Amino acid sequence: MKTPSSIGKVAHDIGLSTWFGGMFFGQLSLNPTVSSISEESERGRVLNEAWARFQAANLPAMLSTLLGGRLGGVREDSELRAPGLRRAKDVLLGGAAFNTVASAMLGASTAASRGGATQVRSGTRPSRKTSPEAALAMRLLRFTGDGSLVLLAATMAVSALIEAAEPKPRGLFSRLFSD
Amino acid sequence: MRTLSTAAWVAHNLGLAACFGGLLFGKAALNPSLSAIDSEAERGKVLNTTWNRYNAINVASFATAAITWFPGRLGLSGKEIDQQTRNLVLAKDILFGVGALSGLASVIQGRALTGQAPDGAVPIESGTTPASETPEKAASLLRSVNQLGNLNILVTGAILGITTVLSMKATKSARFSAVSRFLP
Repeated sequence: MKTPSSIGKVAHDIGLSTWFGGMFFGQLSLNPTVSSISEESERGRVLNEAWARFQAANLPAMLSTLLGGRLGGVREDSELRAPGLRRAKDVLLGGAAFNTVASAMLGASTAASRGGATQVRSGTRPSRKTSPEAALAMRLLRFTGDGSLVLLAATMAVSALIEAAEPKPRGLFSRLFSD
Repeated sequence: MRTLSTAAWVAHNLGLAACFGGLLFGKAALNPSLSAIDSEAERGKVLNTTWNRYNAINVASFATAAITWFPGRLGLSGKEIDQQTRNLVLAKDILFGVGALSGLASVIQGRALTGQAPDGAVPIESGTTPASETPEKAASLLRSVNQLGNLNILVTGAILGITTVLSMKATKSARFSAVSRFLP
């Protein structure tokens, strides 16, 4: 049976951990805390700068997760262990990647207003001074941000279920003609 | 499927990921961004509030990872697979010990830094650099919190890497597969 490469699997796992844990910190810790900054425009500057810095590290982490899974043989190994869970993981990872890219784009559009000094109430709530476009982007961000986090947590759970599954027995011919 | 062991595996991986990724976000994204705030005291307030909030999550995550590692590890030492696996298991034990100590020290130092000013509003240049107005004791606490944070990232990253290699070895080993059938 072909096994996944160690480098591919480590890249996949470290990438997924960075992606999930970073989103977790940002959403649960940074976003609510910015409301303690007295100046509303400074809240936006800190938020936009911190999330932009994180996305610069997170996009390589996301690629590492996806490419490590694809090219490192993790996906093929999952197919042998639990084909149904492999498909579920593909859907969850795809959804998480979509939500993360959408979050990065919405974040960039929020930051574009007032040169990053967007006036906000907290990391997820616009204030009365927030421009309508930035306020809409923030409302959508709440949805895509929470979506990424939930989908990533589910991806990690499904990954562990796949690893715990025994490889499915295959027919004689497929075993003879595979490495 | 072994329900309890699998649930523990899920919790273990989520705990480690929350620690590792969270620490990376804090170090690489939050700390340098605080200089966007004009008031140096307010930078300190945001730094301490954010990190103290995350430390609660981080402690719970690391504890979950440790609690789900050690009971299973008492039953399966790694010898079931080979000597290299046994060494990796021991290395993971040691890293958990180092991570627990450095994490605890980081929380204590972080609390002490917060206590240097009302609401943690210690004047700072950024999340890693003291300002010229930072009192000497607070500056020293900020430096030590940062050094401990760097150590925590290294330790958690190493635990994650070892966990992946151990999981690959376990899934390849017929002996481990036979023994693990008796797991709850």
